[in-house]
Amino acid sequence: MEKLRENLISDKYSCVRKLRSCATFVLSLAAAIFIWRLSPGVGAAVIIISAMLFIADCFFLTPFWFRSLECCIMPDHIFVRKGVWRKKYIRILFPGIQYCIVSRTPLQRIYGLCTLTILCAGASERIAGLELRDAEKISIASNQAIFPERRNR
Amino acid sequence: MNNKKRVRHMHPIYLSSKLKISAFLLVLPLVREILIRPDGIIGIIAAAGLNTLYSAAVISWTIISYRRFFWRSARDGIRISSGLLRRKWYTVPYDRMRCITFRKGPLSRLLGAVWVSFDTAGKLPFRTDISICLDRRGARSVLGHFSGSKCRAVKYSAKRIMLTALLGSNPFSGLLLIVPAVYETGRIFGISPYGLIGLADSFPLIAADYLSPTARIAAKLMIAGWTASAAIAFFRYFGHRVTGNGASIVARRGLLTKIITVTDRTGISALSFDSTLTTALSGLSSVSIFSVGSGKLRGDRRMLLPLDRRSSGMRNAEMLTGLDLSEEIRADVSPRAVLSYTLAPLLSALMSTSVVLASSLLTGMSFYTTGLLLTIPFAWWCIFRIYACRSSFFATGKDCAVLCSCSGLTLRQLHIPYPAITGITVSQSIFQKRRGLCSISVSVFSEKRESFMIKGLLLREAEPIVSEILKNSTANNKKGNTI
Repeated sequence: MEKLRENLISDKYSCVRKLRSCATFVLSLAAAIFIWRLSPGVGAAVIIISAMLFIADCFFLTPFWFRSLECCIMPDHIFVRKGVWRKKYIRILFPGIQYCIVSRTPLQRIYGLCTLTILCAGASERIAGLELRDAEKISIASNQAIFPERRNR
Repeated sequence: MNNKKRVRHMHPIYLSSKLKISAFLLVLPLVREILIRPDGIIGIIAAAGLNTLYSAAVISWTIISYRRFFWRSARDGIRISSGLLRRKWYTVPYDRMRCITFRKGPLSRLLGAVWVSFDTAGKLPFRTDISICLDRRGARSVLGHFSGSKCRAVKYSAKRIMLTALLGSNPFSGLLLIVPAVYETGRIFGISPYGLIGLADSFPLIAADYLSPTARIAAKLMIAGWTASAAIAFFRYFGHRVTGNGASIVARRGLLTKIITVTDRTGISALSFDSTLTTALSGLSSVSIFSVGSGKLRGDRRMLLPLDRRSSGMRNAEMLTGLDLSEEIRADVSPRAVLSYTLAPLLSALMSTSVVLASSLLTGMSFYTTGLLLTIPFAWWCIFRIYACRSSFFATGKDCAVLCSCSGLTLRQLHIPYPAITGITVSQSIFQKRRGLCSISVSVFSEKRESFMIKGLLLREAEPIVSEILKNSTANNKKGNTI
């Protein structure tokens, strides 16, 4: 069973995360330049801290985070694994799924990715970095659990 | 969105709900400038200019978002596509919808619009899954998915609604509604808060001569709050009618704002027969519903049947839900638990009495007024708790477990269908252990993980009931009668 597992998280998701942290870094640089005019010392501190955070996020946290992500469709459930320090293993049974929300930000649209939010009775799970066709696949699988008569179509 | 022809926008009245704040932001400073400083033309222009810019931005954003929101009623559910930068689309299946609310206010009725909210058991805390504004045709097509063959309808007369409004109204909620309105109106007309209190005091009240001035004003304010609350409740419950439509229960009510609530019958987590001290002594109770998906409905939106005699309420509830609400094995709360029930009001009374007495000694407020203002609410609370202790019980039935206990100042008799029970917890504190008592908490299937508790039961009486409930619950789940 384990060998049949296909991780649905796209490789492009790592690039999206890095681009996002780049954008955050650029914004914090702009803020630092603004602060520099008021107080050069604080501005320099902001630049150093944001640069350190950017390096940590881009080169350490994102690769580890990306490596920790896994999402697979199993015969009767969806398996999700995530987390760097605190690892989470989630199994979402198809009958418990109420419905799924597919959402895409402009950056995700460029890379053909999307975020899938699975709403279950009493809980919800957000899976980012899926390709659109895979998200649709999960949506269809959950719909088949809701409407079993469609399974043979 | 395969079929583009069927895709629809919401009713344009939706824009009004989003534009309320921006319109307010635009209008308020202008009014203030004109009223307070009519000669300050520069101030007026400045206020108008800045707010116009902000409002224009909000209005354009709302219109674009409105234009990007599409919905359609498909065979399997409602399909939604929305968002400008962050696009999202989803289908909420009809099979998963547990509670649908249709709301028509006076303005929306005039323009042919209906606000519709769909709720599933999905976890979106404190907000509904979908809330959209449809035209009449769209709302009718949605309602058509839930209307089967009508079985029977329960309709309530205006007299009964008036009784519900009078007995079920809370003066404090009425005061919360009227005080800000009166205060703001007073400010506009230049009347100080003390002047308003004087105005309230000028209303006649029987037995006013026997009360001190402070107590008299407090009593008059309470009566004003209670009247306001009762009037609002009357408008809200007017024309209450409940119909059992095959698999769902449809409740219609409201005079100005009409509300239709459709609840899936299989998703009922509990039926609650609620009564306060006054209604319980009159032998009346109202019925509210806890269902999967309706957890986001708050307050009186849960109400299924207004105040009625307990026997006829029970009969109507049985007819509408198809559940047998009779009791088989029953365990009453032990008289030994009276202290645990009355401990909270007694301690609160003691604490607040000491605080207020000290302040009355310091400020010179009369002892009679202080005593009167304090004694009535705490005595009421204490009497209610004693009554609740004597009336609470735990029982099994044919289709439901029955749990009668108090919640705030309401006595709730909950009928929980066996398939909805997700767990029972029996707990004993050190004091309960010594007396052979226990507390029981029943968790039900709900998006808010709701649980109901009863304390002060004798353990030897409660144990057989718990095992019977677990047996029935397991048998129901094996049959596949799960929610």
